[in-house]
Amino acid sequence: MYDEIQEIKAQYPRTRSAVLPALRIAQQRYGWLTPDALREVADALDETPAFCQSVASFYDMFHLAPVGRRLVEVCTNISCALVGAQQVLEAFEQELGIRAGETTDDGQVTLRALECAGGCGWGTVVAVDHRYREPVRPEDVPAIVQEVRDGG
Amino acid sequence: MPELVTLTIDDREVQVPKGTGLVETAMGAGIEIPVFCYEPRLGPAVGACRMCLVEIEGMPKLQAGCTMTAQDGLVVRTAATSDKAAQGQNATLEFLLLNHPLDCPVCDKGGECPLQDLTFRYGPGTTRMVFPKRTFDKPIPISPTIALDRERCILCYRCTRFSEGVAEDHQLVPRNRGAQTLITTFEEEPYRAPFSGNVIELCPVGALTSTQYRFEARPWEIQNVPTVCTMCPVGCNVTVTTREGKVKRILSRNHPEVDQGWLCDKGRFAFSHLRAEDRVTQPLRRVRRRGFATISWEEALDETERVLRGAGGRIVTALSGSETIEHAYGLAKLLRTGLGAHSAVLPEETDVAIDAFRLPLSAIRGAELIVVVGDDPVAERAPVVDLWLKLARRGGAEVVTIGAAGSVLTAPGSAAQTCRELAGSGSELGRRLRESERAILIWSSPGGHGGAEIAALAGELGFAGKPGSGAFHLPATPNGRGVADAWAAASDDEGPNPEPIAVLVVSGDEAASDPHVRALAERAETVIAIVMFERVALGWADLVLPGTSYLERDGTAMNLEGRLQRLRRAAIPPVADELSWLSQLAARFGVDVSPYPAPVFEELAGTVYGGLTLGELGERAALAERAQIPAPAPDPDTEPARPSDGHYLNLLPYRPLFAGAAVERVPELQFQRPAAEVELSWDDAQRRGISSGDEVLVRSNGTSATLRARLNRRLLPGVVRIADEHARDLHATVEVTKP
Amino acid sequence: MTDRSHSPRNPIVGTAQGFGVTFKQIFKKPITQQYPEYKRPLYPRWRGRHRLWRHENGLEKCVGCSLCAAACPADCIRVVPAENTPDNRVSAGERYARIYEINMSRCIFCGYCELACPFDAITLGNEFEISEYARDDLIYTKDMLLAEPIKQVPVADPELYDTPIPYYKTHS
Repeated sequence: MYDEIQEIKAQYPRTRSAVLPALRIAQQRYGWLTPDALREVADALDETPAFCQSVASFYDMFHLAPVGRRLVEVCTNISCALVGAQQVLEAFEQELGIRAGETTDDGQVTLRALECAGGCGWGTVVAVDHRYREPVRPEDVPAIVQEVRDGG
Repeated sequence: MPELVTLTIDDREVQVPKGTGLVETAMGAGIEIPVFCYEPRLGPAVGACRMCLVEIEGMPKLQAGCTMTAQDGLVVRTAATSDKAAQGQNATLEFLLLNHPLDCPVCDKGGECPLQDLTFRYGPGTTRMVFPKRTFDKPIPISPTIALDRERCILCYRCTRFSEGVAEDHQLVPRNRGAQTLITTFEEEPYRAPFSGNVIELCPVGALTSTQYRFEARPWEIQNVPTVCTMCPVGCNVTVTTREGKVKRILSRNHPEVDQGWLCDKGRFAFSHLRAEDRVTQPLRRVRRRGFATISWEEALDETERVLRGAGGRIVTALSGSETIEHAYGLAKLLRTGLGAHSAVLPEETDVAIDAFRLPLSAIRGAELIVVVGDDPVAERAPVVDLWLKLARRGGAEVVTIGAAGSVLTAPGSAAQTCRELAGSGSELGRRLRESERAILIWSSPGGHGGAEIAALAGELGFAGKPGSGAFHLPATPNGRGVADAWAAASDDEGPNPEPIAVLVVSGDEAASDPHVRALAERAETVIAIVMFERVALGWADLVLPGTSYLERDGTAMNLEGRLQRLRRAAIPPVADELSWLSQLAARFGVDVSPYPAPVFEELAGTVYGGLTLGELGERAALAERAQIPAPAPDPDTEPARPSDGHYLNLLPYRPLFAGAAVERVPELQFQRPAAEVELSWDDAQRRGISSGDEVLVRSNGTSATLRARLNRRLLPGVVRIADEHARDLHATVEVTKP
Repeated sequence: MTDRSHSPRNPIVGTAQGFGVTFKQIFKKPITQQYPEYKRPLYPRWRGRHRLWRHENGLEKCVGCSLCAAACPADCIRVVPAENTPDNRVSAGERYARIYEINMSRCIFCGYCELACPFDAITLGNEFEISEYARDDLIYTKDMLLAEPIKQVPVADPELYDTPIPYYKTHS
């Protein structure tokens, strides 16, 4: 990973600019940004782990805690909220039996509330493994959960 | 002359240079724009707290005053004249207090809290927040010296901006986003950085507080004494807070030319050594092999007199360089004029040649090219100088470090050689130094003949004629130069080094901890040690006279710039201070030494400081003019460092900042002391199959140490770096292996 | 102006007038009150010896904030705070008063400490009989201030009271 990050680093005028792609590499490798992964990134970029963690915690796309095999994200930002994102999220919570930000006990599915996913014209946007479903209504939720559970 | 602009603030017309911050502009006109997050020393304003809202004609909404600069024709209304601005600030404060716990009676900041003060003046009188507030675990120790209370935090980002933009340690960071932001370190690791304590002072609420000062005193119960820190040669100006005669905390005191209001953790937190459990509070006499018996002062003075008289002038004095000038002069006068004992181990010589290139430390900020020569990290020798270098680098200056771990790698111990090369005609860097009007040289290495090497280089580069260019020598001792001046001022006579040594007088704990002085003590018949801590003298000193700390002394000290600064007594020492008993002892030898520092200074200033008076020093001492001294000729025989042959590595010991008898006695600072680590270059580690964190065996001829490996990609291959307290017995070349 | 001190007057008349005043008093009811046998009633808001209070759960109300010391015009209060620990919880807040002393010989009983206290931890009671033989004994420590006042003078005869009986008559 060190060498991979060095390559990316060389593409930017300042090493700090390479933090996001470097974190992405680490996340792809470990699934989530473990403290050791952050240390590794920091070492490769000659930054501190605290700085890398600070950057990672700002962005929704980085995970600072373990996530399940499948990732269900519900946009709860303003446009989606106006067309009932909260109800959609609650439907997911009920269907999966977990709260937003949690992972099911079997480690299969993680449910998260997302900041704006950029699909404001088609709220509510739900991203399953970063693939958008829209618009989603609370009544669509059981089918999506079934699909996710079945590995679709 | 910068362009002047005219603007109106609260119907008052103000003329300032273009680009002046609005907060300063208003302040100059006698108008206050209240702020929390704004602090010019932290870099560009961020407008995070919204306390500085002002109404500006032509702009529909209130503006953050701190982010604006003076423009021609601007019409600004602050809360004093604008209801809109007043309402805005009122609402801002109500918002800031939304989750603020209002536990002011319990909070250490209470009474000196900007949030309290500004709420009182600009805020709502009552609260509408009747529902429960957000709570966190508290206090969280983000390091043994700093406690964090997240409930009180108003997210002004002063602390993280300091960590990122001033100290550049990037350890205290905001986590998450928006209202969920938390101030934190990585994975609850301690905030381990030499300047961490400054965030306590920067915090405008009680979120970051000192653990040492925790619940110790309130602002109306304390006395503040302005003095100067002499834990290192920078001589930062400090304010010492005392309550009921005890030092409770140390705050920085902004001297814009020396420290800019920053203070390192050693200067800030090391004061509790005053209350060390092995503090010597009575004279001691050695009994049997490893024991001391307390004796009275009368007995101690009799004994000292008897020993000194019996020595027949065969006396050697070892000085620490942490004494005040007056104290060193008193000792020197007694020994030199009273006993004819002219032989001394001075802490460190300082060559006067460096005075020809004298500049205030703040000149580093304005420089365009700075060359640091030497193997020692600047932060370990003179920490605040490192902050000046970082400030210069951020301002666009080029900082070149030449050493075993620098931006230009050279063999260890080759600093003098580097100077020769820079002076030569072939060096590109030397040419640029010669051409620059604002270039600075810094010597950060042991040796260097007290700055003579760097002064010689500066002379050859023509710095004497350039008022913007100068040279600094970073000495190892806080006041070595002042002590040497005092020793020289006491007498003009000279004497041979006595052999054998009858009496060795060791002044100060630093000298007493010095292995060279210890070696000298083995050859002395009697050792008199003037130390603060019993364990330092245990087992080898015959007579121990109690010493005092810089916080307990009145006097003067000279810092690395050559600036004479005044120390004031913050706490009454538990023993008579050195000058008072030196005066009594001197009287027995017919030598007149005043027990008070002021007359002593007057006496010696006439000889060495051109009749300077204490009144002229003041609270923020000025720097003397550059001296007109011809630069010395460079020393021709500099020893080149031995190159590494791959198998053996050159050991580069360094003296860490957090070391010494005082730091060892401060429990809160133990985490800052260097770990038992050996720094290895990447190449050497790869070759030996060592990775960071491995236990390795460092061996040299007959001695060995087991240390943890740390990889340093900046280190020159063939060199290992170890803090000298862990490298004590190792020789100059070592072998590093995995056990 | 006439100088009355030298006005010609009959000394006998003057003396008789003077004794006349004395003589008249003989037939009046004496107003001297025999303290300590008789104790004058105190107003309910009379400010006497201080008292530190506890919460109902036994924790001290005082958090050692020193605001009383700041308010004190006689500078007679000394507070040295310390931090509560799970093993040693003394007050409800994060800190408590490890040392709380009032120097009663300096106190002017102005009641500012009571006003300043944000936790109603200190109040001024009705007791005023706090004289001692040694000045040092007038420095009241936290334990003394937390405790009920100990009466130091003999109890007055309740029959002599013409007002509500003071607190310490029934509590001692």
